[in-house]
Amino acid sequence: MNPSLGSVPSGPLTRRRFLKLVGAVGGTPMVMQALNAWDLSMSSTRDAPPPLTGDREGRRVIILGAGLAGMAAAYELEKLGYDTPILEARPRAGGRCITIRGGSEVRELGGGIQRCEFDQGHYLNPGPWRIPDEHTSTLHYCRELDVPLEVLVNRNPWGWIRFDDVEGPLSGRRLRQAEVLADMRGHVTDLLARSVHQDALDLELTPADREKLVAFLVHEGHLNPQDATYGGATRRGWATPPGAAGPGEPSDPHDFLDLLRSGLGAGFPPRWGPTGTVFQPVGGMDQLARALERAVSHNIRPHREVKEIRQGEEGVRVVVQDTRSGDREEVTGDYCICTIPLTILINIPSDLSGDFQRAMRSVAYNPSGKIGLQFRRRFWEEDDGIYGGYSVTNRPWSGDGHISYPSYGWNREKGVIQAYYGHGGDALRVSAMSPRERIEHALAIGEAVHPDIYREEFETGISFFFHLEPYSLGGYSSWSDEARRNHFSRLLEPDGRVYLSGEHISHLTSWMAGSFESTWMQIEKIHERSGQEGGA
Amino acid sequence: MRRRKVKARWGRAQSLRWGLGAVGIMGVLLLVPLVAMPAVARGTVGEGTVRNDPGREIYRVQCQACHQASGEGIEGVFAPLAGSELVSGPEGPLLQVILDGRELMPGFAELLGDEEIAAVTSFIRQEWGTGAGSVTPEAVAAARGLPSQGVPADQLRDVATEAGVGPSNAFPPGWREEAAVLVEYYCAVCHQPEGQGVEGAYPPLSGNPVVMTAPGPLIQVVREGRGGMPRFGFLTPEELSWVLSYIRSSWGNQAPPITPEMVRGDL
Repeated sequence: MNPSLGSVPSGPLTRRRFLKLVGAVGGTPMVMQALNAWDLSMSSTRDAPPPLTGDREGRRVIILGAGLAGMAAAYELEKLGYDTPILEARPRAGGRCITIRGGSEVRELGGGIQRCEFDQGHYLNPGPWRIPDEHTSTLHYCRELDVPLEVLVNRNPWGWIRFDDVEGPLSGRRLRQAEVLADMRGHVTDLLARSVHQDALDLELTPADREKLVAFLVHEGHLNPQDATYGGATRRGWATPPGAAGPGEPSDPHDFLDLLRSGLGAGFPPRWGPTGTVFQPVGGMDQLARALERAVSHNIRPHREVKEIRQGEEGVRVVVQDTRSGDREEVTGDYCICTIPLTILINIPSDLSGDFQRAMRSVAYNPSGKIGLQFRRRFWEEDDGIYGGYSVTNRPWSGDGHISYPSYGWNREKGVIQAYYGHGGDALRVSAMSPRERIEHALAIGEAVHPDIYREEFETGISFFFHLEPYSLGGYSSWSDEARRNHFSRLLEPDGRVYLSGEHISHLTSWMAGSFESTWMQIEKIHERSGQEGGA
Repeated sequence: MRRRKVKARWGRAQSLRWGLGAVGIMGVLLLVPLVAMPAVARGTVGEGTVRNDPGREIYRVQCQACHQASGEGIEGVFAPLAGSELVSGPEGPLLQVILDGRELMPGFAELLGDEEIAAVTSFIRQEWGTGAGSVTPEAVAAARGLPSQGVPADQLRDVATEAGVGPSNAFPPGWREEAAVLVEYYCAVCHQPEGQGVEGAYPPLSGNPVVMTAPGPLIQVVREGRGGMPRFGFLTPEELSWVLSYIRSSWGNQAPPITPEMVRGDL
């Protein structure tokens, strides 16, 4: 019996159990393949770090970068006795897992400086901001390191949606997303029910089947049970809501063809994103980074910019420069876990092999950034009844078009809206504006769904773009299909004694879970190898 | 006019943003005082140099974009220096190529002085020329006198034209203005309004050999991205050709235009 199979729980073959079996037989790459075959790469493959044992006192793993991947590596390896210095170029730990609050300073390449003037308790998470329930690795660290979580309301049907310059009478009109969702489902199920009645479906159905299908359509579309037609549904909102005095008056649905031609139905909800419950750390995403930092702070050496990565038969040598004094020093160790973003790493002199360097250069990073606006009154809650989730516009240069409402401080006085979240060319275009113009731009987007009040209640704003942040030079890795096919597997393997880790070495790119799980994958390999290679 | 409005806004943006001072935050220090740190012996470790020599810096700025930090070049396009017989052989032929250029390689005779060429050549030989000696400024001065055997740098500009690519007659009138807007939207934020780049972060477009020589690698990096350079596949081949042609003929760059057909890969 393979002993590693012993840890797999018996019982019915669930998805998780199947993956554990696959992992036990074929290792992580095989799990990744199995996952890809399922097209489930949104969710985590692992829910705990690898169960490693042994004592490696005297062995040193040099860790480059004190982001989540690097700090998690030190945290896990130190439990096994490794010496784990973390060399970090920035003055702070956390990498791209940051939170901007009042007093934070944002310095951009090219010279721009902003100072955040949010009130105490208010914040913007410019990088990661959501922890989906599927990301069991991220949740593992929140649990282990006592990071308090609260629910982030990811979607909310009461959020507005407005498309300008589209076909038909709905163009430029502000609707509740619930109207679009309920009406599209109602009209389509109505249409399908008619086809069933007219026997127009290309489907062999017994009379009993037919009855069951229509019953389902009535349920699914909130159709009138008598004739299976759609005439509106309470889930789209009321004309007059029920109360003490009256039973309420239902609202009328939008015309099917109007909806269809406007593109509202097809544009929403997005096909991609978390399905279930989504969390955020109480007080800002950096609380997770801070918790990891507390656990490994004795290992972190900030202000150390990596200048060279060299290796030989028996060890790794990293040359760093102190960004304050300019002094150079060498750090040597048995292995290296390098979490430096490829944007930076491809320009650091090293003797990494040619095929490895080619693979690193095959990856492009996506620019990304956000704008946060603080409002003196939570008008979206008080006036519009929108608690969390987001509104949608199709304004030009509005990023993903989402205006996300805060999931902290409910029903209180002020709040910060994530007023712009853009990627790629959109983020480049908006970042090309001055900080002041960006705020103005974000206000103009939000006015589409909150006319007048958005500007009236606005107090102060901040913008943050990762491609303009030193030591990031991009939001997150973006693998082309070709690069994924030809080069990804090369970067999963070490080059000599150097192992890469981070969101870019995963299929969960841009997610914190990608950083954690690639680190788990690499420390398992290092630990196995250091066992084979004998004592220090 | 949309364009005019954008231009006016750009002017304001510049004064707000770039007026704050051109102090590079990453501040990669050129020629910092040499600080030799004691190497911690822990078995035999790779043999790179810890010294921060001017040759390395010149290499990083002038050579690395094509020949790469590893010296391995780009397969099929830019020759590898590592393992190259030219690099480790006698200094004469090597200096000839560096001074006068060859095929896609521009000549550096006018761009760099004798000391600089000696420094970068020595660096290259030290790094990748197995056992090859360093080169003195005197040797560079002597090599300058020798008859050129490569293609003069100014003829490089005609590579595209000779390949049968017509110049800007394929472009609509006003393409330069369109291109200027796209460059402002998508390029200037990182590579800076005058194409000067940000040291240690984003390479300059002005005077960059990847920008000015063969169109192939330039088109590839714009379409496929690399590191901090995102993929620009969301622009049409026409838009990309205007942008690239604009960049190749701005800020002192002088290289022939790139047509939409070249971007599409039809040529």
